[in-house]
Amino acid sequence: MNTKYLVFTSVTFALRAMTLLKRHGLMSRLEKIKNISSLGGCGYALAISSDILDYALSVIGNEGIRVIDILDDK
Amino acid sequence: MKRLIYLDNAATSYPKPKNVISAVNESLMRSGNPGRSGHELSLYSMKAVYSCREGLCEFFRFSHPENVVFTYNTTYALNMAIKGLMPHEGEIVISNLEHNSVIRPVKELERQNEGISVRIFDALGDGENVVSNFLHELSDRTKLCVITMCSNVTGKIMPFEKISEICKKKGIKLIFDAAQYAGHLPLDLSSLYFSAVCFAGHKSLYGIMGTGFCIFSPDTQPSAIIQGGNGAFSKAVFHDMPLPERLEAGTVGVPGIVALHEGIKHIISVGQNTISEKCLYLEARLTKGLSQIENVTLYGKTPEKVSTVLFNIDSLESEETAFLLSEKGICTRAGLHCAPLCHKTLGTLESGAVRVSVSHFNTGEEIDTFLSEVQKISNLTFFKGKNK
Repeated sequence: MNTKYLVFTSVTFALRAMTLLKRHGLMSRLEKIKNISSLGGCGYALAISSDILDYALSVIGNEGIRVIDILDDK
Repeated sequence: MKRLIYLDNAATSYPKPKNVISAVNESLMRSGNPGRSGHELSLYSMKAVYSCREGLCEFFRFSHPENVVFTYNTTYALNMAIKGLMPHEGEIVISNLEHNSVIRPVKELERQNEGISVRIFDALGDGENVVSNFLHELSDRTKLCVITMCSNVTGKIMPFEKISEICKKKGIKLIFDAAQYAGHLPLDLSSLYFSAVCFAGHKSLYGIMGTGFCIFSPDTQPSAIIQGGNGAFSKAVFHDMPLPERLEAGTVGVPGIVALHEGIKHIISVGQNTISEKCLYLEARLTKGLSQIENVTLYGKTPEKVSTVLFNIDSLESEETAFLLSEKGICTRAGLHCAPLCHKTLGTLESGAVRVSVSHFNTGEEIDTFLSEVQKISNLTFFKGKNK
C-alpha cells in the first residue's frame, strides 16, 4: 500500500477535503510538504492510501474542491 | 473586584461563558502559528481555526467554510468588504443608523474617488417607511448598499430581509453589518441574498475582544486590501490566492477564534430562543421602568428591536448620568456610540444619550437595582433644578 499526497489551493480547502473524506469513512492525514519545489499550493498535503485515491478524488471533486497536484512523495 | 452590574453588552459582552475562558487558556497552551509549520502545535491551530469556520457555517446555515474570513473586529471586516467590493465609480447607499465603521470607509472612498458618491436614507421610521426611503435612494448608479441589521444605538431591527430581496432583484451588491444582531436572534444565511455579512466575535456571540469575521457569498470575489504572508504560495510575489487566505494575510488570532467557536457552542447549549426571550424580557422590564421615572426621556422606541435601550435624564449630560451610575457599580455607555447620524436624527447629537444593553447573564434583580439608581439620580437632579 502506497501513500499519495493531494495538494490543494489552500490549507482551508485541504481541511475541508479532510472533513469530507472523514464523512465518507476515508482516512487522511494533513502533512507539511517537504519538497519545496512543489510549493505551488498551500504547502500542505493530505496523505491518503493509494488504494482509495480514485474514490477520494471523486468525493472531493463532487464538492467542487480542486486538487492541484498529486504527489508520490511529499 | 466589587460586584458590577454590567449593562454594556452592545460594546462587548461580559461576563464571558466559562467554556470560552477555558478554551482560551487551552489554546494559549497548545497553539503554534497556523498554516506555517508541520509540527503538532501548528497543526492543532490549523484544525482549530478550520473547525471554527465550520461551526460558524453550521450556526448561520451557510455551506462554504472557505468563505468565512477572520478579522480583528467588525470594523476591519466592514472595511475589507466595502473596499474589496466597491468599484471605482457609482453610488453607495447607507442608512442613517450606520456606525462610523460604515460611514467613515464609504465617505473615504467618496473623498478619494471622484466617481463615487454616498447616499443616506432615514431608517428610524417603521418598516414600510424605511423600505420606501431606501428605494428612493436607489438609482442606476447604485453599486453597493451597506446596511446594519440592527442599530447599535437604539436596538432597532432593520427590515433587512426586504432590503435583501430588493438588492437581489436589482443586482446590487449588499453588505450587512450584523455586529448587533447575530447571537440576539436566529440568523439563517441560506435564505438571504448578500455579498458579505460582517460580524463581531466578542459581542453577542460571546467570544473575546479582537475577534470578528466576514462571510462572503460564494459568487463574490473581493479584492484584498492588505497583502502579506500566510504560509501559502510563498514563492509568489503577489498575494493571489483563494478565500479565505486571500483576505487573511498575517497571523490570525487563534485564541480569539477558538473563543468565538466556544461562544457559539455556548449559545447552542443555552438555546438561541432562550437567550432571545430572556433578553427581550429584560429589555421590556427596563423600558417599562424607565418610562415610569419622571425626568427620563426614552429614545427610539420600536417593537422591532433587540435588547438595547437609550435614555437621558433631563438636565443631565449623558456622560454625567453614566458616571453617576458607574459610581454605583453599574456599567452603561454614554455619548454618541460612534453613530452620529442616528443621534442627529434622534436630536441627541449635542447631549449624547445613555445606552443600556443586556445579555442573558443579566437578571431581573439587576434591572431593578439599575432602575432604582436612575430614580435616585433623577430625584437628585430634580431638587437641584428647583434650588437654582
